[in-house]
Amino acid sequence: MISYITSVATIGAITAILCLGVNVSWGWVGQLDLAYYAYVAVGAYSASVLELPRNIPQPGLNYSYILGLHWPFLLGVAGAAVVGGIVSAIVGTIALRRVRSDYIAIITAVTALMAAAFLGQSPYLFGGQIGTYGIPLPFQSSLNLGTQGYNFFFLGLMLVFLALTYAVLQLLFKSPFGRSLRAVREGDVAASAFGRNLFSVRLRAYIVGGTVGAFGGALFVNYISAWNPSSWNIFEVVLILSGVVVGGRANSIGVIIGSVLVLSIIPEVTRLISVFGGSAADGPAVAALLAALLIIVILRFRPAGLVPERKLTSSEPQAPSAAAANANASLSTRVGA
Amino acid sequence: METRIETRREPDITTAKGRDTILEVRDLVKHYGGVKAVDGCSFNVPRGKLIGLIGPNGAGKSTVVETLSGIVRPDAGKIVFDGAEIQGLPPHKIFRTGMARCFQLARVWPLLSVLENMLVAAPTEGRDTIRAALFSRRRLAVVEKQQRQQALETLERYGLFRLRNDYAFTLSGGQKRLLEFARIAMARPKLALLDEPMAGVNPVLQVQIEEGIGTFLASGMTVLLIEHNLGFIERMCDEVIVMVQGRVAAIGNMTDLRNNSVVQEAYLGGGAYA
Repeated sequence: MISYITSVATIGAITAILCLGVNVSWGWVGQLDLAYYAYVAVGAYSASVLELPRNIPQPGLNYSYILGLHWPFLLGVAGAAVVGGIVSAIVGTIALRRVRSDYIAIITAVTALMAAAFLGQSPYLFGGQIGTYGIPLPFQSSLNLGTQGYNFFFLGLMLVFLALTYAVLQLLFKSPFGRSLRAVREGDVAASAFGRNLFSVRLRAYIVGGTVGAFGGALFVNYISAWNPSSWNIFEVVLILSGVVVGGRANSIGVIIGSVLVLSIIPEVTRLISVFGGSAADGPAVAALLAALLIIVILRFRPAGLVPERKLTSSEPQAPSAAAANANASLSTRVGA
Repeated sequence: METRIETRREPDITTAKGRDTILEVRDLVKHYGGVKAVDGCSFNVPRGKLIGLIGPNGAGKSTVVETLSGIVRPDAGKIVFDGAEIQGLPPHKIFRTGMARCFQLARVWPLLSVLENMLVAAPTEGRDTIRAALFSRRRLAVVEKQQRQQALETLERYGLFRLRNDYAFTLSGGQKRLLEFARIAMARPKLALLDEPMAGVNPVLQVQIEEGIGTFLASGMTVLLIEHNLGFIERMCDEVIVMVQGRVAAIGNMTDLRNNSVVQEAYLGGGAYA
C-alpha cells in the first residue's frame, strides 16, 4: 500500500510540474498550446538519449540512438530542458509571428502531430516505434537503498523539483515579466501601445512553457525508464489543461491542486470501481467522465478555478502624499512642542 | 447639390512655423479597400501645446491617431516624431519614442488590479525580462518600490487611490477613462494622443479629465486631442486642426474657425453654431 501511494504521489508531483508549464503559455499569456505534450516528449526522448549509451541494450536490434552520451541524471535532465527550450523557440517563432491566438492552437496541434509521426518513424533517432528504454533510475546504484527506501528518495527528489519549479515560476509571475504577459493576455492592443512587443512577450512565455514541459518529461522518463510513441499523443494535453482549468488559471498553487485532483485522485479513485462490482476496465472511462463533469461544474460555478489568479494589491492605508503630509504634521507638532 | 470641400495637401497655415515642432505629418494616406479613410493628410504639432483634432464622423481623425500610434500601418506619407521618422513602426517601438495614447473605448487590462494597470504603463526599460526577474531581483525591487510609490501618488491625483486593489473590470466607464489618463501620466510620454476622452463621461468626471489634461501640459507634455465637444475644444486648445474626408480642411484657433465657411459647411452642415 505504501509503495502504491508513493508511486501515485511521485507521478502526481511530475504531472504537477507539467501543469505548471502549460499554465505559463495558457494561464499567463492566454495562448492555447496544443503542442505542449510534444515538448514533454522532446524532454523524455532527449533525457533518454543523453543518459543512455549509444547502443540499444538488446541483442538482435541493428540500430542505435542518436547521441547516446551516457550523461548522469542531472546533466541529462538539464540538457533535456535546454532542448525543450530550443525546440519551443523554433516552433514558437513560426507559430506566434503575425498569427492570431486562435490560429496558434491550430499550428501547435499540427506541430504535435508532425512530431509524433516523425519521431515514431525513424529508428535511428529515438528507437522508432520501440522507443527508448532501460533508462537507469537516478542515483540508485550509489545510494544503495532498498526498494521502498529508494521509492521514498525518488518521491522526495520529485517534490524538490516541483518546489524548485514553483519557486522559479513564482519569481517570474510576480516580476514585471509576468505582469507583461498578463497584460498581453488581457488586451494585446493596449499592451502593445504601452511598449510591449507582442511577439517577443508571447515567444518568451512559450519558451518557458516548453522548457518546463521538457523538464517534466525528462523526470517522467527517468521514473518510468522508457518512452515510445504510444506514451504520448495530442489528447494528453487536454488532460493537463483540465488540471489547470479546475485548479485556477495563472495561479500556481491552484494549478498544483487541480493537477492532483484531475490527474491523480480521480484516476486512482476510479480504479476502485471493481471493489464496488464494476469492471476494472471501465475505470479510465469513468475517470474521464468524472473529470469532464468536474470541469463543467467548475466552469459553471467557479470559472476562475478553485484557487483564482491573484492580483497585486497595495496594503498602504493611505496615499503616499497623504502619508507624507501626516508625517510632516506630526513632525511639526513635535518640533512645536 | 454636391458640396465641395476645399482641401489642402500643404496647409498654408501650419501650426508650427517658426516654432519647435514635435510631430510632423506629411501626406499621410490610409485606404481600406475603396474607402479613403485618410487621404493626404498633413499637419504639424508644436511642442508643449494642446492641439485639437476635430471633424465630422468618418473624417479620418481616429485613423490618423491609429496610424500615429502604430496600430494601423499607413499606405503612404511621412510621420516625423521628435526628429525621427516613425511611420510603419510597430506600436511598442512608437511608445518607446515617447508617445502614449488613450483609446476611443477605454481599454484597461480587466483582470489586473488598478495598481497593476499603472505598473504595466510605467516604462520598463528592459526590466520585464526573464533574466531580470531571476538574476537582478534586488535592483528590480528598488525600481518596483519607486514605481509603486509613483503609481499610488498618481492614482490619488486622479481620485482612484481607494480603487487601487480592485480589478480594473469593476470600474465604471468614467473611472476606466480616468485610469487611462493615470496610465499616460505614469508613462510620462512626450506626446499624448487622446481619442475622444469626453465621450460618455459625466460632468464631474469631465472636470477631472480637463484637470488631467492640464496636468499633462503643466508637466511639459504635448497633447493631440480628438473631441466633439467644441466648447471644451475652444476653452482648452491652443490650435485646432479640422479634418474633412481624410484631409486637413483648416487649421487655426477656434474663434477664427467659427467663421470659416468651409468648416461650417463640412463640420456643422452650414449655418452658425454656438
